[in-house]
Amino acid sequence: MKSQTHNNHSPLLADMVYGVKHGLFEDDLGRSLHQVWSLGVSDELIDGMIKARVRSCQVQEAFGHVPPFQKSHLDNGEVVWGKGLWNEVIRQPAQDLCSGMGVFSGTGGGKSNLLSFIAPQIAARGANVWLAEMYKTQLRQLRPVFQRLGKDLVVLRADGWKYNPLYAECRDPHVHLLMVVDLLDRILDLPLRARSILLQGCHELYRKFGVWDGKSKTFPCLFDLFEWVRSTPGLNPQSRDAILDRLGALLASRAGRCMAYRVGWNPVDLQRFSVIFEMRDVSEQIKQLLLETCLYSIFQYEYQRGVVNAPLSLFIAFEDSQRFLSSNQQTKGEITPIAELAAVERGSGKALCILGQTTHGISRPLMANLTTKIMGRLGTHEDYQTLGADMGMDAAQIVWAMKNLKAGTFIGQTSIGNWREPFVFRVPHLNIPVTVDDQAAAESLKALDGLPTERASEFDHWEMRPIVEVREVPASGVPPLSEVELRYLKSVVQNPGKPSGLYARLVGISGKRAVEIRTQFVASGYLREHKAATGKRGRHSIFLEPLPPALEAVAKLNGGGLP
Amino acid sequence: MSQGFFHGHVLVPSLERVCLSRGADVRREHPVRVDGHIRFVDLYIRYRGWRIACEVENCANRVRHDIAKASALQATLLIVTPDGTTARAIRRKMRTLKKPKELQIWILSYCPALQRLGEIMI
Repeated sequence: MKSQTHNNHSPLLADMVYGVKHGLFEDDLGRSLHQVWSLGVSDELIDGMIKARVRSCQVQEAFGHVPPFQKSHLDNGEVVWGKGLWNEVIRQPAQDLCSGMGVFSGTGGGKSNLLSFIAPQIAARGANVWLAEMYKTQLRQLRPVFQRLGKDLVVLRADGWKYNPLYAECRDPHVHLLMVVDLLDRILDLPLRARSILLQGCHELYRKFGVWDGKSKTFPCLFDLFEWVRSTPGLNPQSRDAILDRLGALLASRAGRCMAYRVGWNPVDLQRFSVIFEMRDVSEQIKQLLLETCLYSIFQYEYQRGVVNAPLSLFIAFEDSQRFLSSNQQTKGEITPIAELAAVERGSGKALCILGQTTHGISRPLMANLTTKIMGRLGTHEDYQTLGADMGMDAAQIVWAMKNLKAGTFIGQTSIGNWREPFVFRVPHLNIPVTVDDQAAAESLKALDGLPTERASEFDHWEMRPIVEVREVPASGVPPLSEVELRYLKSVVQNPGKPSGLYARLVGISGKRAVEIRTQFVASGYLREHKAATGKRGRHSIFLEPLPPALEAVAKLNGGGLP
Repeated sequence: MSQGFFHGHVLVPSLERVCLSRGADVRREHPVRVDGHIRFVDLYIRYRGWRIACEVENCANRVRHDIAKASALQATLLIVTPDGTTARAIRRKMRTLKKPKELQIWILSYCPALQRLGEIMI
């Protein structure tokens, strides 16, 4: 009926389409006009009233007073985003958040305020929230808000973790091990053979602790892995050194000590709590190791127990995560861990939300899995163009965004549901009083005291020793000397006081190598040099005197007897 | 009597071996009475008409005693040093000391000392 009537009134049709898009017929009179026009009734009075509304809006738009956006049709759901341009309340079902959300806005654009606005709403619905703050300690002030909702919000600093990445309780240890080794390989940026060594070491440690038999209640930790690599002979030297250097630096840090647990917090248990992870003061590597292994463990657990399309149970947000997400960029052409998580999160009922200042550095696979995108006040033309194009904005909308977005005003677009147009909304500014200090934050950790943990106390005084220290004279035990060095030492002890060149011939090594060994032994107190002019000209001969450490070392080499 | 490793295990034995190989009568740590005290000469070498008191020195501190011991034995004093620097230091020290006119003194580093002994014991 409409088409037959409107074909004859195409200018009026265009006006009606414009009016509907801009919400000009939402009031009582507007709905009546829309209905009358739909029934094909068209006279001068009706046309005039329709045109008057449309012309008025078009004039305002021409002067830039009306944003080129449609009125939002998102009016159903538990999560309130804010109010639209026409003061309509914009809502979205919480379940839609499981498909991933990205908020991009420059500093001071209102990202944290937006997160503080929606996180309590999600918690009130029954789901838990994990909010990771990379630099600030602002979100901890939500703790009283959560308490009013009847939920506890734990504030967890990076050095307060009780965690063991190798702990695989409730999960298949084979799959868990591959995941951890893969993450360690990426985080530590190890050479190719080092990954195999790590995997080999973890397998050996799991066997030693009886993990493969399923009998073990305790697990090896990363300190065990470090010690295994350090004490196992015959490993590729370059890969071994790379692991020791990088893993050692990781473990030697203050936050690294929190991983000295045989039984650490199980991420599966941890997801029963709402937690703010304050990750300031730690390196990006620690952030990645803690957060990514934690998230992977949860997803692995959910999929192993066969969860598909679960309702929202956990909302995970990364605040100020620009560097965290950018540092995940790999040069090896692999998909980044966070992008991988974003791809698999939906079915497990976990919502992933990232907040960043710019889209620069955010991988395309990750953007593809952020179904709900929100743009705030950005700083570069590139960001507006890229994100605007991803959100389906036209040129006029992008220009409007560049010139009109303010702090607290956002443009959103969601690819779930039938209506996918970008929409503008304002988030109310929250004045949350500052009441949670460090002491209150530390007290909030008591909620996690009930989780089972077992500390690896043997690593309480652990220190990373540089490899060069093995050259020191050992106080006791067999000296850590190579076979050639021992042969050289033995020949000096058996033939003391001979010119140094003789020992090179006796041991069967080159003069250059003999000089290196001799210098090393002299420096470490095994031998003493004496020089004598045995020729008319040229350099003096060097005679070697074995000292007590050398006699002792050779005696032990011979089974305690005399050399 | 207490000697360092280089002195007692390297230099003295090698000099002794050379002399023995040439048929000389060599005594290590040969006793000699000096001013009522028993002293010892590192090597006392007798070869045909030669009597040589050989002392191995790494520094110039004990040169005075070496002169006394060689004088008591009425032997030629051969002071052997590891290198030329020590030999020069001992020569400088020797110039400051009073010594019997009939005492013949050779201050040589290791290689020239071996050469000198070789020339004597043809």
